[in-house]
Amino acid sequence: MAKASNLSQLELSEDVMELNLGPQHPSTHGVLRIKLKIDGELILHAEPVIGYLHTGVEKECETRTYHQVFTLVDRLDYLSGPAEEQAFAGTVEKLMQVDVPERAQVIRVIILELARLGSHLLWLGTSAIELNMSSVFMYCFAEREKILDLFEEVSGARMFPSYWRIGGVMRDIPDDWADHVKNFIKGFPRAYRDLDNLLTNNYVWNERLKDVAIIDEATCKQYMCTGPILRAAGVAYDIRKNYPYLGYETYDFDIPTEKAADSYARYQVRMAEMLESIKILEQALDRLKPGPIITDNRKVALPPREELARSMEAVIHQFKLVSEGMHPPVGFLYGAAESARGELGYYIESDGSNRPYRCRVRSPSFPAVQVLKKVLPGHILSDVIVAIASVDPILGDVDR
Amino acid sequence: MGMNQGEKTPFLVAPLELLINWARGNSLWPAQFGLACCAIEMMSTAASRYDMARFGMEVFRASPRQSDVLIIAGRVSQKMAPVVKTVYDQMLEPKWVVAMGDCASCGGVYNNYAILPGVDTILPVDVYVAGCPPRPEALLDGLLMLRKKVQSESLLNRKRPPLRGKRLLDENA
Amino acid sequence: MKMLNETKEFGETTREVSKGDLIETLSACRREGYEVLMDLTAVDYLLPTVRTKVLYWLHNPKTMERLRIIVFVTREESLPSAISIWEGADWYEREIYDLFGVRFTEHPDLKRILMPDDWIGHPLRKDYALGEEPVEFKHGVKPKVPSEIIPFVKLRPYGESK
Repeated sequence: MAKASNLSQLELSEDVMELNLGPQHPSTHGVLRIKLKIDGELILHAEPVIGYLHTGVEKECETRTYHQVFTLVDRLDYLSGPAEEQAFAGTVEKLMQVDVPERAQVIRVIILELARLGSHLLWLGTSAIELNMSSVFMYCFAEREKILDLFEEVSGARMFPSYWRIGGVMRDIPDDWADHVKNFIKGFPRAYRDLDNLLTNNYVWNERLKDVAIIDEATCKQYMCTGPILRAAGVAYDIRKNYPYLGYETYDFDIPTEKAADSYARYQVRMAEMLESIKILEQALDRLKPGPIITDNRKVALPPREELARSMEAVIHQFKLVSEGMHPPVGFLYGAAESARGELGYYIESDGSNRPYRCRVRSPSFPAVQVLKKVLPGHILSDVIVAIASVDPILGDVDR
Repeated sequence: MGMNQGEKTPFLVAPLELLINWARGNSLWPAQFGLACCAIEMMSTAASRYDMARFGMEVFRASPRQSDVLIIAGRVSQKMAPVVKTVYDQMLEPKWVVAMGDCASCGGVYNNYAILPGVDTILPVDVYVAGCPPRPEALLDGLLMLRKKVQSESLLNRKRPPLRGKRLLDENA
Repeated sequence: MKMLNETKEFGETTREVSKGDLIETLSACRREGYEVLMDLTAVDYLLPTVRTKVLYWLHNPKTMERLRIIVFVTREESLPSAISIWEGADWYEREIYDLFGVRFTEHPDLKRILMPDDWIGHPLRKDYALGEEPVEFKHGVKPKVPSEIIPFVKLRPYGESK
């Protein structure tokens, strides 16, 4: 790694070229801009510049009711929209001390794991196409289309189901949905084997990915990285095991870790996580039992339509919830969920009104982009693309 | 074959115009400008199930100088607006713009200080595709509409669509 | 560890410290085992006084315990930077400066990160308008701003105990 004195000497001798890996560039990880100072092909200094997708979601959430925030917030991490919805809904449910019924919990787990699978498949497809392996892209997207079909059956939308409500889910699953998920699970190992055969022992893949962007445990602690980055450094930290939610403590699954902490290790961790998700899906499908799908607490959840014809109180609750929204107690709280990228946390502060006073999203990709500043110098130019792809940033989450 | 009855194409140019418009319409090369969630659906459109290659459009050029269509897929923020305009200016004539998704058409779900209310405040847009995100079939429908428009354009008087969202550029409107 | 007060709510511990003790408290917490700074953010208040609350959310990887340290600053004050303890606090502090206007001394490069470089104002402050445009939802009806569709309803004044 070049030291600062070397850099300024080189700059004075005009050997340093400034290259702008601009916000519009073909590796589709979003609008990330990196200002590089390179000497030949060796990178001396890298500065990521973000903000090109700043949406002002945190301020806009302060002007919407809790119910309206769901649509704003699941477009942040646009690859795993359900994880954002779960993190927000989980935090508000903890704040209001509302219990989610069993069937809703199992449905939520199924959709979350399917979203995780979809996100990892898309990550693999886009990372491979940046290294010019376009057939992997086609295989991954073909599998992902099946997952998006399942989401569409359940809620009507492919990517952002908007299916979560505070205290449960929006409506019950169709009768044959569980069979469709079972068919998907039966067909997935074959696709996994295809991807594995294509990539894991591929000479080009190994040479491009091994020893690139080593983010070890000390760096992770300094830069607060979580998720596959931390697991590839050897630390078995997963919100699903350490701060369980939705009954994850009752499922039987492992947390894959690797020791090498380079891009290849992160690839192996994500491939192993896909198999673990399949395990969780199989267990969850066995637990689907008939039951309510949203809580009974009428101050939080809309009453079912049949009750509106019979009971005056239900009509009043419906009116209050739709025209005003729910009122959580005064206080502040942090709740987290495990998205495909790491710890996705929500800090919600409520002042007793029908709008959140502050809704802060602790995104897992923000430290992942920041750590590139430390890790890139010393590599060559072609490793930059591999490094960005392996930390898997989603710029919607970084810029909010 | 011009746009209105008043501008009839001269007799000798008409078959040439048919040929050139047919060629242009069947090989529109998009410039990759995926910003946010709509970019994922754009990638799905280029993938194997909803194949964009059957219409001649799977070649996403990275450089704007080599492309015809700019598909703005995603929300355009304040910091990104000058970049979009620069990329559009770098494209060579003839060029078209497709505003994909609600955020590029009208601001979408967001109504705040950080997002431009539609990309037509800074660029002339030919086709708007609605949806949040639009289904791949909807994007294909929009691209086919663009192809029909390209194939019915006049060779000699090519008019660019107006800047519809005049809020940013014209204070009196 | 000098702290002004400590509250425990919803299973979380929050300790308020004063500005001068901040770096000392954070270093002491780090030595105690809270080695990871999970989140660094701020909240802006206008009532009862105009001030900003900066929060440090610390995580202990061995015992999985979490601790929140809060410090209040007024609009003119600045805070010491936590970069000397955690390098990763760099961008978080730039974000707080960009969106709230809180300055951090000893920060190597405090400039805007999310808004354009020449933006005036700090968007997440409570006296900064959202910038909404009125939308005509139905023909012939006066255009409405989306946040007025369901108006603001307060149940209890903020700060009142439960």
